Amino acid sequence: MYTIREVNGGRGRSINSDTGWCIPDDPANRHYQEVLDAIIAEGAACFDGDIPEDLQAAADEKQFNQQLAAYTTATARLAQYVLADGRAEVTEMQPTGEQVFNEETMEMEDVMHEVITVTSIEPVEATVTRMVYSEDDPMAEPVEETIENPLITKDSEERAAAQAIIDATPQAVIDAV
Amino acid sequence: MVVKVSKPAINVREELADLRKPTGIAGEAMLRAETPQEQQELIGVGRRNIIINGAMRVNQRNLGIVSVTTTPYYIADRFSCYNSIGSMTAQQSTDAPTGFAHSFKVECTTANASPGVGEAWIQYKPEAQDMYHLAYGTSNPKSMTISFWVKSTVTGLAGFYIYQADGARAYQARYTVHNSNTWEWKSITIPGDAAGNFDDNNDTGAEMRWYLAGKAGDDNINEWGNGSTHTLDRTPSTYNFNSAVGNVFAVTGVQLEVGKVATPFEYRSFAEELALCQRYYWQTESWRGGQYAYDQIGQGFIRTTNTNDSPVTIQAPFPVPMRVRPAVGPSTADGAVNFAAQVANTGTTIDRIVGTWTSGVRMAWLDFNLVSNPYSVGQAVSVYCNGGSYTDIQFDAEL
Repeated sequence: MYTIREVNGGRGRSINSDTGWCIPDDPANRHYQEVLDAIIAEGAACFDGDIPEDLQAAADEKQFNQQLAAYTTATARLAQYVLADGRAEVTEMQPTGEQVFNEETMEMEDVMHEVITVTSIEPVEATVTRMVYSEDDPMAEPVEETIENPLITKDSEERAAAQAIIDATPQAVIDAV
Repeated sequence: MVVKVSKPAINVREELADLRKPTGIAGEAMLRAETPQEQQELIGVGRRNIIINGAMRVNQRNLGIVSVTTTPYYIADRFSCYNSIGSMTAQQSTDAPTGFAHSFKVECTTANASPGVGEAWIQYKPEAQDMYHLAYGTSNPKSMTISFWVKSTVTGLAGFYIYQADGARAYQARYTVHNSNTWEWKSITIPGDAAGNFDDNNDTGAEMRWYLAGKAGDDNINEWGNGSTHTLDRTPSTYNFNSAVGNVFAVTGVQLEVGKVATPFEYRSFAEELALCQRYYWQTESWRGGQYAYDQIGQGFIRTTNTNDSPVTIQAPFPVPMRVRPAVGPSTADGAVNFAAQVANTGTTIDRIVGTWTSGVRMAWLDFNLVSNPYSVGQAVSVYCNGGSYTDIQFDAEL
């Protein structure tokens, strides 16, 4: 909880936290940035009284920039290949730098060759097998267990998290990309 | 008159053989250097270490063992840590390699075998203007080399990550921990980045992190890239500090220098290192040598006779100019016994700090309330840490 206190006989203000910190009006101060973070996360609940307009505007701007950065990162994460599917090779025709004369068109033409622009990557194994030992009976034979490859599990979780960020991004932020 | 001069015969073959001196690789590199500047870079002369408190000696907050959560905690000065996976503690430790007295040490207290999307790290943030001379964003950006001692329970590949705040560019590197719970010296050379940028200002220049867990993957390693894509694989997929309770990770002897070579650690005097740290944080010293130190906070005057209208105004000078205007706060909750004031010839107690106001970085104006105020406007006041209290006033301008 933050409180605005007048200082210097009413000629200035101090942003005070309930832990006793007195925070200057300086965006370069990390405590000031924490005030903005609290406004973003909690809104009016983090202030005893109204949030000063300048602080609210600074918090709005910071939130916009954070959402923009998160959206950019999330889209980049989704653009990575899916581990379970692997990645297909991508080729394209590019000029070699040489030219030949085309007698039909009577023009010089680039000599083209096929270049691999994206190398292929095999999908990872869908499942892995592990030995499970009994916690109750150390002498018991271990049991073989097949589970989804943890790399795929983690990849799916991260992709889902990235998709959730994209879904939650306001349109105004997406439009700014 | 004829003068005869005789000189000993010279065996040209022997003379040439003498030229093949065992200079070694470094010596030959020196000989091949074409300019004094190149030779200076090879030797690493002058002030080299960009890192402040790399030996983890300065620990002004003296917090002891701290449970680390998602608020970055500054433990040894200038170094912080963060954790959103399992739980861990952090401390300035006396566990250190030969030649060092302290390290920054974290220990896993609740395991998390599958970290998911959380992360844990130890971080150092230099100012942008202290990185500016690396000439990033030019056609001739300079390489930099970071070296450090590390001790980790978990072995194998581990992650080091640096993010340029101004250029929004990132670099993910790997180093190998060969032996569990053994001090090992590592160095990582990071190439210059012609597409990067360090501004010439006092904001954050870089976020340099030793990753303990999280953001696992193995792509985009050892190359500068866009901060949105090259921040996804900060930890090797095989490394997880949080895999078991009791896992330890400690680091010290951190040195960041220009060039492709890690030179021996640059030891600075404690006084110099402390002064460098105080640009970012300092606090009074209420307790020293087993007794109350009554450390002074500042001097000022009675501004009003109204007890609760911040009647005491003082100037608190800083030991060195700080990075930006600091936040000011007590190290424990405000209370009547935390601070004391001497008004004219009478001792009294301070109720609480009311606020800070200053436009400079060399001192702060502070307003206090008094428990009682039988004084006159204009009387001189000296405010200091109270006996019977371990409370200090902190001035925080960290990045």
